[in-house]
Amino acid sequence: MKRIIFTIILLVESCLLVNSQDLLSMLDSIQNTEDQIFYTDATFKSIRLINGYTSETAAKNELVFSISHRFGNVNQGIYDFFGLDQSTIRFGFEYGLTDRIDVGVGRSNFEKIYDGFIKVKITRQSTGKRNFPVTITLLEGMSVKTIDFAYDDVDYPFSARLYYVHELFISRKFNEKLSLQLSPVIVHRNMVETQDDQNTVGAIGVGGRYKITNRFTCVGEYYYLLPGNTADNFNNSLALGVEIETGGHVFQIHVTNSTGMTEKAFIPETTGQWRKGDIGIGFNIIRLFSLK
Amino acid sequence: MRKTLILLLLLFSAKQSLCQDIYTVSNGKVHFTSDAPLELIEAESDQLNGLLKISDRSFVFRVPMKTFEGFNSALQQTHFNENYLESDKHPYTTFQGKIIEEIDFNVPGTYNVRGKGSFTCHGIKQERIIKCKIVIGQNKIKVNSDFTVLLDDHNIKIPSVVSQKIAEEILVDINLELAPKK
Repeated sequence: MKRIIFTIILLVESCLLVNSQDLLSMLDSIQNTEDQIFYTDATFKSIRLINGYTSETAAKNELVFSISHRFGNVNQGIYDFFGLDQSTIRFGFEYGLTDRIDVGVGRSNFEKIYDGFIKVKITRQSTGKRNFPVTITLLEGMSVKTIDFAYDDVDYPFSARLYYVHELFISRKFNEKLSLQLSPVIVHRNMVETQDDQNTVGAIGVGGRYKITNRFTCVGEYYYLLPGNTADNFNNSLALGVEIETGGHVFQIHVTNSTGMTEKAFIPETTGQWRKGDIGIGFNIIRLFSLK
Repeated sequence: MRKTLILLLLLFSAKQSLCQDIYTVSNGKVHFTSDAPLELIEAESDQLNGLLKISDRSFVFRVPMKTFEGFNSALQQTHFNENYLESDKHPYTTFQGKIIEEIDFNVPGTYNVRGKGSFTCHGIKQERIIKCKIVIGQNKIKVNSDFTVLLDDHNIKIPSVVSQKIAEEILVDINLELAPKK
């Protein structure tokens, strides 16, 4: 009998205890976000960091149009208006097939290159039920140099014009302001200028962004060429810039020692040196269209 | 001895009703509309959760901002979380307070009541009185309400470039069902 009474008292007590709890903390215990997966959104403002890409892809049915300019070197002085008289351009489209796969095409007047690629988000940074620290995106691309060869008496096969790029973008949004990206890349060139050049060049890219305000960001990008002949004869690509977002547009303004805007051009073929002032001003304008 | 036991049993049954004192959201939806001259934006979340304590008519309701879906594009959803609501910093919108009218929750029927309390969105707390309709049924309470939220009240800044695309006053409608908390 005593035991029954004791049990009943205990039950009543426990119930009263629950009732005295604060409603909000009680809600915390039932509405826990632990059983949901939250994918990290907007690691970068756009699909392009500066010269290279980011781990972001175009969302499903989204069309991203980008137009990029690289002006001549600023050390050319006032005669060339600090390089602004010359410009290299690339325009490109990127379209999201799914939220994780997109395809892109582009055309640059630098060596009259056409490029095409596919980007696949292999895994996404997430919190909650599934905790994963990084987003990994794979890029597989190809480009065709269509400019006439210097010696037209030699009959080069079409394959001599082809270039391939394989790149992984491993990015992490550390907090709402800082995102960093590591991007190992291999560029393969079917034909190179001289015998000393490597056909296959490896490089490691590092880049990141730091948001000053919600719509104004500082960005930087550096591609380190892995030791070899190419690394000895060419320079690592370094670009620094700012990004301004206005609605569906992202404007990126930067300075870089690279002229080309395709991987084949800016990773293994950068000749400009920062310390000599071989840097040019450039910009990318990225516009997003929703085709839903 | 028997008397004590009966008393305790009574207390026990009182406990039952005491435990019925707290209702929890079994199904909660929030929908909002931004009706601006150049664009209509709508989004919805079905993860509105909350508790209602019948004895003192106090309540708390909240919704995780990242669960809103809809919008006109994926970019819009990103901007909603990144630029406007800053959902990483302020993950929830919460309304916590008390029902002003002293209604009897044991009597089924439809009641128009006002909830008074603090409405916190984008980390900014505002004292609000929100009207809503309550339908009390058997072990079930239905609530629906329409109200507006002024972006300015919650320090949500709209750049002039997109001012024609985002309304200054957001129309919110909620629909929820409460059941006794198990």
